[in-house]
Amino acid sequence: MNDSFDSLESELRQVQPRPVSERTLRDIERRTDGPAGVEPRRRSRARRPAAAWWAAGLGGAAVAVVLAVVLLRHPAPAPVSPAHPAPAVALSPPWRLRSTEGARYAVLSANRVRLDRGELFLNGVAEDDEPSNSQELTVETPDAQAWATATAFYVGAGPFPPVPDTKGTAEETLTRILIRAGTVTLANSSGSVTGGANDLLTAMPGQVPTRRAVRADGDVAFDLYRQMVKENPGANLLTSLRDIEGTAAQPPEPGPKPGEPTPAGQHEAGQRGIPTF
Amino acid sequence: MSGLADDRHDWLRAHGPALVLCARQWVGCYADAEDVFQDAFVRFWRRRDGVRDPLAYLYRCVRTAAMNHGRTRQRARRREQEVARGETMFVDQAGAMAATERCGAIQRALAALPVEQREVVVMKVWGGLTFDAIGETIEIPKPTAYARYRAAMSALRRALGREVLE
Repeated sequence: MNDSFDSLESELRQVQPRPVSERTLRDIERRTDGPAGVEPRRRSRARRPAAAWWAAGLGGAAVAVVLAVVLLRHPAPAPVSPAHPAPAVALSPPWRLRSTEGARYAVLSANRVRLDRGELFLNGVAEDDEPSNSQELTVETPDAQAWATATAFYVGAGPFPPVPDTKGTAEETLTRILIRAGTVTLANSSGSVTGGANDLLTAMPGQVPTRRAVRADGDVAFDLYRQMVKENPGANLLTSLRDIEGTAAQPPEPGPKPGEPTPAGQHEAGQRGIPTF
Repeated sequence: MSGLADDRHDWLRAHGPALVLCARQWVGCYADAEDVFQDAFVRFWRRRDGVRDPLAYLYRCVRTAAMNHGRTRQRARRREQEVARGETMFVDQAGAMAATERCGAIQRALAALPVEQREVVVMKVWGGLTFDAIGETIEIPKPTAYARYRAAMSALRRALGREVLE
């Protein structure tokens, strides 16, 4: 139809219309819904689904809030290793570990232990009495963190009091450490404290950790400690680390029942696992 | 259509210059032509659903907007001023703004044509529309569109033959 003008068309196409200014392109893109690639046609069709997505999102958020409230009221127990079977990760020598029955703990690495509930006895004193061979051990509890090197100590963590009383007293948690040898530093977000042999360190949420000296076996409220005392009635555990070592190698036994006097002392609070401050 | 139906950016880059040139045939300056193109493109983009030939419909939007835009007296004065300034409408293939003899000659030859013929030439040569699409855009029969094109090309050949082609 227009064959006779092909050469002229080619000649005309040697020049091109000047391009649209960037300002105009930007204005068009803005007026047709912002950056390029978002077409109004699709936007208008997406509005209805978008509203549906909003509704679904709000519904999901409501469900999440309800679940969060339920979980906060009834927290699931933290996954920890069983009490007595050997942990999957071995502690770095010479650290050795013993736990109470029912303790919930996990050996996170060769020099890191997490204790959620119960008591542990951790002994990092070398058999040849060379403390320098021991690596620093970190113990994490829900309330605090403890660091120890070449040390033997008991550490306990869990609710305080461990059994809620009938008056419905609010339950709090407590981390406590009884040091048998060396030094241990106990810290939480409020502060830190360092103690030596026969010191009792405690930490509660929102409070600066405290330290006080333990003067007699009956002054100690660790189930594991009392158990060791029961296993060695004649030994003064506060001064005989070797004796502790000897009893720690034996399998644990159930702790004393409430009201039952302990061999080392008859402390009502101690029977409930509460330090006698 | 041209395969660019869903990409606004490609639409603008591919057809924007020719559409502004088309609008420029009816308005006094490129600034006004770009304004017309902008309004027309936005309107087209929002209504292009269900359009049988989107590109022809876009040219129609631009043409209508340009015709309406050029009717005011104030804009007519502005057009005269812009034309007097020697505004360029074309760039050469290298992209430089047209100050070349070829661009000037084509612009002058095009400007000498009646607007009805100019718009057909712009749509056919730089817009790439078929005569069917041109007829649909201008709302004229296809033979009429071709007749205008033929008349325009003959005139351009005569004009450019004197200035460039020879």
